[in-house]
Amino acid sequence: MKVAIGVLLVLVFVALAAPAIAPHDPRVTPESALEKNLPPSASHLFGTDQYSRDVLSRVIFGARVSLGVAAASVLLALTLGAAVGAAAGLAGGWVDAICMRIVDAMLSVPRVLLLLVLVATTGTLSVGGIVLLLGLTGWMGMSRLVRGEVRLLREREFVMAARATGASEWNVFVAHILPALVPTLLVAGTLALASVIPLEAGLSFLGLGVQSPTASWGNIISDAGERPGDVWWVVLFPGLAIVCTVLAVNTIGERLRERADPRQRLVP
Amino acid sequence: MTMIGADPMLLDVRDLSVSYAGEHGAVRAVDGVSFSVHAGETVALVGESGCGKTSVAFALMRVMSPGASIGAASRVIFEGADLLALDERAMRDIRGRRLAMIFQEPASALNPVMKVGAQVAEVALLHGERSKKAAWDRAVGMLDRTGIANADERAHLYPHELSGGMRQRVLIAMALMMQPALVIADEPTSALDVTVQAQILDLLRDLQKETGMAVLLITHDFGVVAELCSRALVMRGGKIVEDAPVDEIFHAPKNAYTAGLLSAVPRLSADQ
Repeated sequence: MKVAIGVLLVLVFVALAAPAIAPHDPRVTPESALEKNLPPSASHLFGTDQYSRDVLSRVIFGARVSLGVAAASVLLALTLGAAVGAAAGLAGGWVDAICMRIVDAMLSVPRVLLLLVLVATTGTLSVGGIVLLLGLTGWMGMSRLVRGEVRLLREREFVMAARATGASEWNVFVAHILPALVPTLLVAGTLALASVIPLEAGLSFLGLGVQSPTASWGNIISDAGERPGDVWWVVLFPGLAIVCTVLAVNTIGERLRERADPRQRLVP
Repeated sequence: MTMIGADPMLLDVRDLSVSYAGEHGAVRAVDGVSFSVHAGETVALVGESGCGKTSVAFALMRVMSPGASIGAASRVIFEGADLLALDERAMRDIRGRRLAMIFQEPASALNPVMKVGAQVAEVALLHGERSKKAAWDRAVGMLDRTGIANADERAHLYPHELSGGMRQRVLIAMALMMQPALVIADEPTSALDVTVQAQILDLLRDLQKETGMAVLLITHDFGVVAELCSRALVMRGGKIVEDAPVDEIFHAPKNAYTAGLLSAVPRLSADQ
């Protein structure tokens, strides 16, 4: 857990401080034009790619994009999921039925497929567009979680007791239901982060996500060209970055989940 | 709030019915119950488990579980207004302020992740108190009045850090925060130890003397009835089978069911 938090903190720091710590310009520069596909060396620790760009610098700047896109899209998904889930859970009846059928329908299509179809129809997207896309396809599971939780909480005796002191449904939601949702959302958000990072990397690798020259861990790998075995450094380092991030985030998510286990919910 | 002159009548329930939607049609849990409570009076609603006591309480508060419905002919006149005819906003204003409820299970009727002081203060905030600080101070004062020592420190505790009796005092503080005219106490001592039960009953009696509130005490325990109440309503199968002063019920029960209930109470001596 400590290692995981440490890894994540380092990555976030790298992403934030990218311009300060990257040894080279992550984009093509004229004077580096002759340094194509160089293996790792003292001046290029992670080597260079087919456009003579320093892979280390690209991985560092890629952290910005990859982590930023993941965080923003998860935040969007969380907001949407919480809003839809809470509305369905609180309103019940036909509102609930409609919301949940939409969720069922969207969940019945694999997310990757849904993303591919959407990208194919919209064409290549800006970074903001990718955030939107990942967010819009990631909220369904969360809305189900939130809805279940809300419905459970609404029937709890302390909610009845609050109503008996004159609280409106809105008062009850703000005072008793929303705070109780925080652990659930935290866990769901962290685990979603772990799944959305490779998803964005995959899309970018296929050329459907973040477009070169903006670096993302996915499209750095695709810059290895047609014979990635010859330029292993271009594939290995961004790949390692993805694996480390996902492992770290997943570990944190699992730990949070254990802590927020509903059976232990009585202890704040 | 309209009061009818000097009429001491506080609550007048007419023909109250409550049914629950079940798999095989509606089930009538409360079937045409009528009774009244005068200002300052303590009335017991007695009966075995499942006879509809708690359903009556929830219907009076209009805090219904899903699937429950109140009969169309039912009337609940409280301080001159028919509660069943009020809109939700007007009802919310009465709940907690004029008409309050003490719940049965102090362990589950408090939010486990909220400081008890905040839960008591919330009642004041819901009924017009604007300053959080003032609400908190009032909550601490109320907790103190319910006999919680060091209330200013204990208000910062969470429910699981308090004993059962202490939690029940918190619930009582919540109910009495706005000085209601009528408190419905649903088995307020059932979940507590015998010694703590006596303390809570004493507390209720003292607070009643102080504030002049009326209490509708729901219980299955005739010991509690004898301790606290002047009049008892005996309920069975959703109907009230006897409505009489407590003395009369104990010494000359008119209804065979009441007599049966009484004989089920263990006695220390046979000649009572």
